[in-house]
Amino acid sequence: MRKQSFNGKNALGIVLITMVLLISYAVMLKLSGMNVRNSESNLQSNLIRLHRYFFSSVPSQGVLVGSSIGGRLDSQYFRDQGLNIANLGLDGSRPLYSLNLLLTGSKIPKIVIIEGNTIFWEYTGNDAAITKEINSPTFQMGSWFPLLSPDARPSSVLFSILKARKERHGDGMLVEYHEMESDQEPSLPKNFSQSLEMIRHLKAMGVSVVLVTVPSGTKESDPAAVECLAREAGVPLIKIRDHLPDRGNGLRYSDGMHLMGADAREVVKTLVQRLRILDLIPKEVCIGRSNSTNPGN
Amino acid sequence: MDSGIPDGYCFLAFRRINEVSISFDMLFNTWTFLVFLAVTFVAYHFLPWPGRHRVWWQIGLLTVASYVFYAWHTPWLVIILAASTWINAYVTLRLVRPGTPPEERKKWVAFAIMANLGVLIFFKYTSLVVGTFLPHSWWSHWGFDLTQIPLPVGISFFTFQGISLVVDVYRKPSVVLEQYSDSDIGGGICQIKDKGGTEEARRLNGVAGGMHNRAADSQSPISKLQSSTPLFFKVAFFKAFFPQLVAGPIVKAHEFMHQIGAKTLASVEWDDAVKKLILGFFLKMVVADNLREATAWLHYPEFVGKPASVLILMLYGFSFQIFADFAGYSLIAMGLARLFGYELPMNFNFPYISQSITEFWRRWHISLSTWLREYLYIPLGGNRKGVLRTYANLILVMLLGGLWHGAAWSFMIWGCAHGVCLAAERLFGVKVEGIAVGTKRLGRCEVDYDEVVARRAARLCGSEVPSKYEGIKVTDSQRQHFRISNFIISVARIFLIFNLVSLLWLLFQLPNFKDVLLYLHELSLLRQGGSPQILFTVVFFGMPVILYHFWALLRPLCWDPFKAKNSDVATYLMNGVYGMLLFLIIVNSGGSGSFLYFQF
Repeated sequence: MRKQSFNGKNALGIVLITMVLLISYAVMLKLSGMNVRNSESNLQSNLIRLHRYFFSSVPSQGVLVGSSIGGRLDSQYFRDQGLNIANLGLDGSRPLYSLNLLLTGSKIPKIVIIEGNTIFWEYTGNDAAITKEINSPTFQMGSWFPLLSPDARPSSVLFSILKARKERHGDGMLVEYHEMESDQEPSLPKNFSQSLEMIRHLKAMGVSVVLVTVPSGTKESDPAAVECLAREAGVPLIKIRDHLPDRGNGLRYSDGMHLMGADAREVVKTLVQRLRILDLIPKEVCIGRSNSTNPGN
Repeated sequence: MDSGIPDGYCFLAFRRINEVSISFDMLFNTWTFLVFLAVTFVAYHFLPWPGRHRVWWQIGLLTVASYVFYAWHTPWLVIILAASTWINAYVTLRLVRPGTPPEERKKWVAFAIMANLGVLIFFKYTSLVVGTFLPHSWWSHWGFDLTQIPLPVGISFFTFQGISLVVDVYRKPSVVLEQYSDSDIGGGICQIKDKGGTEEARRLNGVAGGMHNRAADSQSPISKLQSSTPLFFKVAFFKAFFPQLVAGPIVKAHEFMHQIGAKTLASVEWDDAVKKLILGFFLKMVVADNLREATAWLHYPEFVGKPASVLILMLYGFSFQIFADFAGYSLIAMGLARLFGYELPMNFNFPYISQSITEFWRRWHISLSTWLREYLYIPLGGNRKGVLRTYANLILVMLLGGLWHGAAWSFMIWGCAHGVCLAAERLFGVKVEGIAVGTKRLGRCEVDYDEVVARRAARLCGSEVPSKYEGIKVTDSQRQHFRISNFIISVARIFLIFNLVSLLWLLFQLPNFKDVLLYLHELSLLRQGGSPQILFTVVFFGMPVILYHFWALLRPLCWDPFKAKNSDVATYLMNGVYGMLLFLIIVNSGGSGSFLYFQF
C-alpha cells in the first residue's frame, strides 16, 4: 500500500499550543494568588463554594447553609473574625438542599448556621443542576487538577475581578425594612416538619445548630414560622437585624435583596459577636484572624 | 422530589444525592462517549480485518457501535430504528430489483414514504393532535395516556434520511449501487453494468437476460438474502451512523453512499477532523452551555418584571446559544465522521451574516433546507406553477419545516412566519447577494465579494450586468467606494435580519404563544435596570459567535489576501486560535447539558 504522509501536523501543533497555554495559565493563577469566590453564573458560583468545602486542604469545621442571601456572607469575612466557617449559601437554592449535601459528605461540621430567610422554600430545578454537576467526574477531577476546578475558570476570574471593582466603587441600593405582618393564627409552611426533622437529626449527631435571619431587602420568611421552628427544634435564633444600628436600614444591597460586600462584612461581624456572646462557637471552628481585607483576594 | 433526610449511601470519593440518580447517557460531551469513541476508533482502524471484506467488517462494526450508541440512552428505541431501517432497506431492494414495473416502483416509494412518516407522526404528533382536538373523555378509558407517548431521540432525522434514501434510489438507482445503471428498470430489460466483476453483478446480469422476474422469483430465499445483504448493510450503516444519528446533519443518500468503502488510518484527514472537533466542542461546551445559564431566565414566569435591557440580552443570548449548540453539534458530527474516513455535509455557513431570510435558509441548517427543497418544495411544483402557487409552496414547506422541529403549534407559527418572510422577499424582489453561485460541491458556498461588488458597480455605472462567472473592469477607487458603502448597507441588513430571526426564536424558547406575547409586552414597558451577571455572560460568551461571523464578513477583505501572501504565518496564527479554543474547552466549559436539537 502506498505510504501517505501524516496529514495531522497542524493538529499536533494545536495540541502543543494548548499545553503551553495551560501551563502558562496555571503559573499565572499561582503567582497572582487569586481567590475567586464568584462566577458569572449561579451554577458556577455554587460549584466554587461546594468545591472549596469538599476539597479544601483546610477542612471547615463550621458551615453556613442557605440561599444566595446567605451566600453573600463570604467565608473570608468569617475568617477575618477568626472563624473557619465555609459558606454553602447556594444561589438559586435553599438551606434544606445544602443540608442534604452536608449530610452525604464524609465530614460533619461542628456548627451549622442555617439561613432562616429561605428555610421553607420548595425544591427548585437549580438543585437538580447542582446535583448533576457535583456527581460528574469533572467535579472530582478538579481536586486533582487545579485547572479543572470551578474557581480556575477564566470567566469566573474575570467576573470576580470586575465584581470586586464594582463593589468598591458602587453605591448599591438602600431598602427600607418593613416588618412582615404575621397572621394571628399562622399556618405552618409546607416544609416545616421536614425542616424540623433535619435540625433534630443534626443535633442528634452532635452538631451545634443556629438559626439566623440575614438582613435582606425583600425575601424574609414569615418571622413567626421561623421563631416557631427555632422553638420546636430547641435551637437559638439570631435575628441579625435586631442587633444592627437602626435595625439595618442603612445597609446597601446590589439589587434590593443581596447585601453589598462591605455591608455583608458588617453583618458577619455582628453575627459572630452574637455567636460569641451566646457561647455557641465550638473551639474547633476558631482560627487565627486573617489580615486580608480585599474581597478579591 | 425532595427526600428530606438522606439515607447516606456513598460512591467512590464523593457521595450521591439520592434525589437524582446518575445518568450515563451518550452525549458527545460526556466521558462515556469518549470511552465509546476510543474503543470504536481503535477497533475500526487497528483490528486485522480481512483485506477482501474489510469494508463490510468496518461497516458492520460501525453499525453495531451506532446501535449501542443509540440504545445507551433508551434500549427499546433500537427497535424503532431497526424497523425503520428494515422498511427502507426492503423497499430499496425492491426498487433496484431488475424488471420492476414503474407503477410498482411508485407504489413501493409511496409505501416507504408513508411508513416513514407514519412512524414519525405517531411518535411525534399524536400527543399534539389528541391534546388539541380530542376531548379527554374520548380516550381516557383506554388505559394509556395518548398525550404521553415517548419521543424517540433523533426520529425526525433518521426518518428524513430514510425518505431521502428511497426517493434517491427511485430517481437514480446508481446512488446506491454503482453496478446498477440508471436506465429504466421498471418494465424493461435492465442492463446491469458489471463493474468490478462481483458475484452479485454477474448473477443479476444473468437475470437481466429477459427473464428477470421469473428468474428472480425462482431464486431460493437464502440466495435472495445473500444477494441483498451487502445493500442491507449499506442501508443499515447509512441510517445508523452514530455521528449524525440523533441530531443530524440530515445526510442524503446521494451524498453518502458513494463514500462507503474500506478505510484506513491514512483516510483520516486529521487536521480537518481535529479542527472541526475543537470548534464544535468549543461552541457547545464553552459558548452554548455557559449561555444557557443566562437564558434559563427566558422562561415564564422568570422573565416577568425584568428590565428591558435584560430581556434583550437574554434574547440575543438565546440566539447565540441555539446557533452555538446546533452548529457545534454539527461540527462535532463532521469531525467524528472524519475520524472514520467519511465526510458529512456542512450544515451551517455563518447564518447570522444573512441579509435576507432567503439567504438565512441557505446558511442555517442547510441539510434540512436542502432536504425540504429537494423532497418537498420541488415535488410540489416549486416556482414552476405560477406566482401564487410559489408563495403557497414556500409557506407550506416552511410550515411543515417548523412542525418538524417540534410537536407544538408555536413551531408551526415559527415555520409559517419564516414562510411568509420568504414569500414576501420573493414578492418584493429581495436578492440573495451574499452568496455566489457556482458551487461545485453540494453544501459548500464561498462568498465572492469581488464578484458581488463588480456586478453592483456594473449596474450603477449603467454597464451591462455580466454573466455569472464574468467580472467587469472597474477602477480601484470605484471598487473601494462600493465596497465601503456595500459594507455599511450589508451590516444594517444583517442587523435587521438577525433581530427578526432572534424574535422568531422566542417561539422555540417559549412554546406557549401567550408567553411570547407577554414577553413582548414586558419589553415594551422599557423598564430600567440591568443584571451584571446576565450582561457579562451574554457578552463574554456571545462574543465568540459575533467574532466568528465577523470573520466570515471580513475574511475576503483582509484574511484571504493575507493568507495568500503569508501562508505559513497564517497557518501558525490559525493553529494558535484553535489552541486557544481547546484551552478554553478544558478550563471554561459550562455545566453539562443536552443538545437543544435533541428534542427534535
